[in-house]
Amino acid sequence: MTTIRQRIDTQHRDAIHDAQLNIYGNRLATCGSDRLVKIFEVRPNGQSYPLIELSGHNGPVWKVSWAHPKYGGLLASASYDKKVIIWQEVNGRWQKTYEWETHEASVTSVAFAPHQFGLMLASSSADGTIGILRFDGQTQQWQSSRIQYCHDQGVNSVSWAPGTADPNGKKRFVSAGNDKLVKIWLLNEELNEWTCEKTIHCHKDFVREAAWCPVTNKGQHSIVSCGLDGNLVLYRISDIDTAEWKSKLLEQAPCALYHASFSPCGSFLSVSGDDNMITLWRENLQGQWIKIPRENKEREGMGQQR
Amino acid sequence: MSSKLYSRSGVFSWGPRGIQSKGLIVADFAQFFDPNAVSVEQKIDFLAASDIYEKAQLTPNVSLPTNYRFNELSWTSMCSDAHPNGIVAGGTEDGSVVFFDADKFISGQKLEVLSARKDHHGHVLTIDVSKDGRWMASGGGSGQILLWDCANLKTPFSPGAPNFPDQVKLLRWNHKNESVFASISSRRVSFWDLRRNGSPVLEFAEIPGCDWSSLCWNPSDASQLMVASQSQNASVVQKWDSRFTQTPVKEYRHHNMGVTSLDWNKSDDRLLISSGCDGQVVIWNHETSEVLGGVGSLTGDWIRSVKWNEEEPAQFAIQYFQHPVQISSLTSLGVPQPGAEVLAARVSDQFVPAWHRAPLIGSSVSLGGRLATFWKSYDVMTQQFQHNVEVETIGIQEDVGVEDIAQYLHVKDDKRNLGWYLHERAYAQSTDSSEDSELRQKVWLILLALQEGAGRTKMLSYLGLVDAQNDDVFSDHNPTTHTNSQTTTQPTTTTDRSARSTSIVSAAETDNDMTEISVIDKCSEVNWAALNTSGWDLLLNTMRQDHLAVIRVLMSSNQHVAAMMYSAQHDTENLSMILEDYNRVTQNSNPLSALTLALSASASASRTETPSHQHATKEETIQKVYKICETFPDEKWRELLGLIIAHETNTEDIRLSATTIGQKWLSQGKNLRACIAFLIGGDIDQLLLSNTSFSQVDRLKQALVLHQVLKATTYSQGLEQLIIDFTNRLLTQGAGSTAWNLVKWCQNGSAEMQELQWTCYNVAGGRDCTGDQPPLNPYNISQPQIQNHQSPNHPMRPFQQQPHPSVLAPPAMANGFNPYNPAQSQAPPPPNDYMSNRRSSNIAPMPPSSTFYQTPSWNHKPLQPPSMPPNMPPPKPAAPVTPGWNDPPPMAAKSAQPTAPKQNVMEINWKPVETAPAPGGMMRGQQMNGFSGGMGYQNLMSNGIQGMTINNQPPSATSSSFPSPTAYQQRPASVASVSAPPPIQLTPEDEKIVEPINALAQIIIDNARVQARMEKAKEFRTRIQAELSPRLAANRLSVETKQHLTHLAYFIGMRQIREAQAVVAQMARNSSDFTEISSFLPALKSLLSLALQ
Repeated sequence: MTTIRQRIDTQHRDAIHDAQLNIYGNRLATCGSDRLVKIFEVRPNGQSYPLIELSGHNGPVWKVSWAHPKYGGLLASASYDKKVIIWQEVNGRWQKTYEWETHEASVTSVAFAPHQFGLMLASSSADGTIGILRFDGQTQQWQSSRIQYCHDQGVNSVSWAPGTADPNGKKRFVSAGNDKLVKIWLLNEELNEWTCEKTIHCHKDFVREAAWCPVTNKGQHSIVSCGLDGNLVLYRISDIDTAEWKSKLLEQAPCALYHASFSPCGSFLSVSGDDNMITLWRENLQGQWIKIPRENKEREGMGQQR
Repeated sequence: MSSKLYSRSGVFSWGPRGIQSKGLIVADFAQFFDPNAVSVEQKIDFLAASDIYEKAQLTPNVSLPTNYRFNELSWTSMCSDAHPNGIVAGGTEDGSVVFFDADKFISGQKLEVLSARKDHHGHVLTIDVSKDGRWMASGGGSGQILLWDCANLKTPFSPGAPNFPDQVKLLRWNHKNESVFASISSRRVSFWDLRRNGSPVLEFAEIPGCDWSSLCWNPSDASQLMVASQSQNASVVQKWDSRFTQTPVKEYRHHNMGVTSLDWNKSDDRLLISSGCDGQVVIWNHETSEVLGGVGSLTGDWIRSVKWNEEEPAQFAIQYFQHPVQISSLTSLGVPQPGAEVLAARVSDQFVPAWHRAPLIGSSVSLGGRLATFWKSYDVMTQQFQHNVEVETIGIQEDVGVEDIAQYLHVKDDKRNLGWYLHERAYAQSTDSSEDSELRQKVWLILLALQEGAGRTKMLSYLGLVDAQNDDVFSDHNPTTHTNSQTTTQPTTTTDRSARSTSIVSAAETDNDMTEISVIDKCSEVNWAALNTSGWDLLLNTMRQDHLAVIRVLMSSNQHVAAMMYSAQHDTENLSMILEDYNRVTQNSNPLSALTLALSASASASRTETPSHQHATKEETIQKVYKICETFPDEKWRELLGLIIAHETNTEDIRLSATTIGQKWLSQGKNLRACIAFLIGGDIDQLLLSNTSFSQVDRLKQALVLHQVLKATTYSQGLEQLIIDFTNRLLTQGAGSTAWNLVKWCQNGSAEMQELQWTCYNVAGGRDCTGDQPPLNPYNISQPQIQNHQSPNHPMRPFQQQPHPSVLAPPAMANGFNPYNPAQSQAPPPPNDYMSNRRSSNIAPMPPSSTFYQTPSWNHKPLQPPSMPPNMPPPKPAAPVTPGWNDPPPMAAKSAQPTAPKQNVMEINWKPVETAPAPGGMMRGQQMNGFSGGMGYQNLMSNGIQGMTINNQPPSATSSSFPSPTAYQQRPASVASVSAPPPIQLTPEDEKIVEPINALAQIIIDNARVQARMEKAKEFRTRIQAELSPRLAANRLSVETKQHLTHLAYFIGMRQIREAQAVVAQMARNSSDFTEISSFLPALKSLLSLALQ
């Protein structure tokens, strides 16, 4: 199959920190140091058209996250200015619908929960807390709460566990922090309280990202985390309620790793790090993750730039 | 953005990087005495990093009594088995330097003093550890400096007699070079090099009015350091470059009273923190001179020192003289300490510290295998960084049958093409002749038969029971004409069969009005196992409708009655024959039989069948089929199916029995057989259970064809699940439109199916790309109306949000923020100072403009040896220096040479302290070396070279041989144009680097049409030879550079000049030994561009 790589002229005036496709791959949101969030329409042939440029942040925007299309066009952005902003498309026009500024330091990442959990998102911050925003359908308002003291020295990422059709399914997410830990959080529905269910020590340096595979394979959950120590670690659990997490070192990269994310089907894992390279992984039929050879155009002309 | 106060005051040291137990060590401060204190007991404490975060009140985890009070503490990261957490050293008030084991202390066991030699006179004012953790240097009164080897604490080293009598106030190791440190006294800054004995290698910053109090090195630039003055009249911080020590590079006035302490952030080299006698702590950016923020500090006290935490770049601690140690963070310190809110640190939102930086690269994947990538790249042409975003579809080499299913979807509505498609499958050449593969083909055959609506006979022939009579598989004849032709070939066949429908599937219409006795009813009585060969022949013949043969068989085995009966039912014309034969065999001469013979001929014409048969119930049928199956021999499975196809009249019954048989086979594990049975039975779900040995795409196609043949409207459950599974696979493969084509026909599917349809429709590109009407949007119902929540009564309404009520910074902090008195920042940087603008955000620094390298520097070079060890400054620029583009480039870290172990990196020329002179002898050394404070740079240089370990060959100007690098560099520039190739011994590897370059130059020279071009090429070649080869021979180049050169040689050898240019550009940007390569890089670059023309 031939691969068409289509360049998108984002017109960002500064560094780009994130580019996220929505689940269908027909919308692309980018954000960067120029404090803007931009949305593009992407056609299957790769052509793209700018839709909107969203301004509202006062600092570099680190991350964007799309809500499930079930909720219409809904995008959240996390910025260094301590704000989480939720943008909404109403009749084809994008506007800010909610702004949340309770974190005490840079908001490092934001993630919408799977739609089965309802309209909900989590944000991580350098102040060591995790914020949870939940849309209350009755009052039509966003309700916020914060989990204090999640990771010393800051939380770097949050990622939600896959949703289940079971309405009483437990809600979980995973967080990664500068205390070299990966933590799994579980919602106690009665008390409406998040508790740390499991703490995983598998890294020797800051953990930059932990990603929860958005699908389960015969009940088996997978999490991948990567960190500055170059380790890419896979965690698996056969039964989330009873079994124990098992970890496996997928790769020891020669450089610090910063991003790891799953595709919506959980079939791909993309990892990137200091070597300015994106590596793609996929799970083969035996359940092993293998690297896919890929032409790394990103690397050209970069070398060991800091 | 918070602060906390420790339980007491004292001198502190953060744990270094690479130590397991992180935290802060606090001990009593030597220059403080509190007359009101209850106890005079001295203690040394450890505060764990986690406690700083988790506890509101900071109390020591470990607190042990000690006899010492310290001026400064230092903690080395060099760990050994004996000291798993390194060693802590402290300079005390009584002249001893105390070393103790950190691990035993942190674990609370005891304070195990490893060494406490008293070699200093008076206070030991400062102690610092080198970057590699191996060396400690302590300084104190009378200009005395001692060097301690952490691996061997027995004997300190001394550089010899100091050349000044002042106190060494502070001493800091260079972060990039393990052998260099700087010290300050009140009046000057001194550089020391372990390799150089006797006196400082450099002394500078003797500025009248300045009283130096603090010093710090740039963590990423070996030549840059910052000094601070505590004098009230000149409360300045100055940035100096060690290569140009006439004047400071830049001056900062952020404090209006003396500056007491200064520290450079290790993780962000833009960020400095300084404290003043005015009690202010200011965080500022040295590149822009901008004050970024500060910390609330306790008033009425002086600040003795501020230090960043190396482990956690956002944290720093402040030592007051009387007040408790304050720990602050630019982010958060976790559990807040009540009352400490006013002390919170604040930094402008506009400034993003480098530790928030991540490499500007990443990606996200959506359904349809679409991958969005963003990354930063450097464009050589425009000399700018570019930020790229690309979208691509990931191609996987693995074939899940995307093409296959797409092909099927394409032909599925065209009966003829679909037939061909199946035909290809069914008659595919298979190398595998096992029973399994045969069966697989059979499955396709049956499917083909079903698809074309083949008649019973055809079906039997496909099963291999009947000889195919008509190979024209794809004839356009409909099934009925087919059977008609069959009847004409067998004119003996009588009417009794002709009325029966021949197609199993399309039989429904014709068969409905005709009920017949089910064969199953009868056959269940037969003992199949007992049948002999002639029995099977008979059965086969019945299927072939070769009645004569059947009758013959029967007659030959003297079963005339049976033959009679058979004939009576099937072919009455043979009755007379049977009778005749019977008569012949039994010699029957009874005229009755003759009469019967005559009657039968006429009766056959008017024979009608009795339609009054009651249908057996399903259960009964199943029971009976089972009974048949039991007695039927296993290898005769085809016959079993054939029996049903041929003799069963009712379509329903055929299906039911076929399905029943299939289930039985399935339970026996004969999946492929069961598959055929289910195909005949028309049961999709069961088919999908049995055809598991096929690939997923084949299974799907079989099911879909069957579905199509059955003209069913809704997908069965199993098929739907398979479609969903397969569609998801298609989506991951990036075949969005195929996925949509697959699911778009589904109507009234489950919720999951509807969602999938909607997803596929969108992935495929919506209306624009598919041309289809959108499917039902399953989410329309559940979409919440979130837009109303902007009602005015919303408590958190974003647009009218009040400014944050806390004490946090006002918005325009970068410009206006300085609650502590406006910063009188130094005159603006020179307009062409690329350093000042090179980072406005958290992007990695721009590589220096490559025009810098293009300046033909060799024309006025080398006046000074360019090949100095990295710690030495490069040659002093000849022209008056404007700090700007001509600034010396930042000295990068000395690349780690894996070959040499740490100990051997440097040669220590300092003498063990036993030989250290008595205090009286101090001044002697000064004379001996003939140093004066204001010593000229040139002089220093020559001294420096003598101290180096390089064998200094005397420059032999008359020698015809090419000079060695050192010698060469000392020759005047004009000599550089010697044309003789260097007779330098190169290793084969090096030869491989040099040879292609020379070859390239030769080619240019040979092909040059213009004289000037040839001259140029010659000149470049000479230069490269003169500069590169000796360096290679002397092994001067770092591993990295060599690697680059190898790549370069490779590309040149391949004549890929553009690639070679890229390599050169890369070398210019990232090479760590700039001084080395700068001598030949420009020539190399020019040669390449010449080659390109």
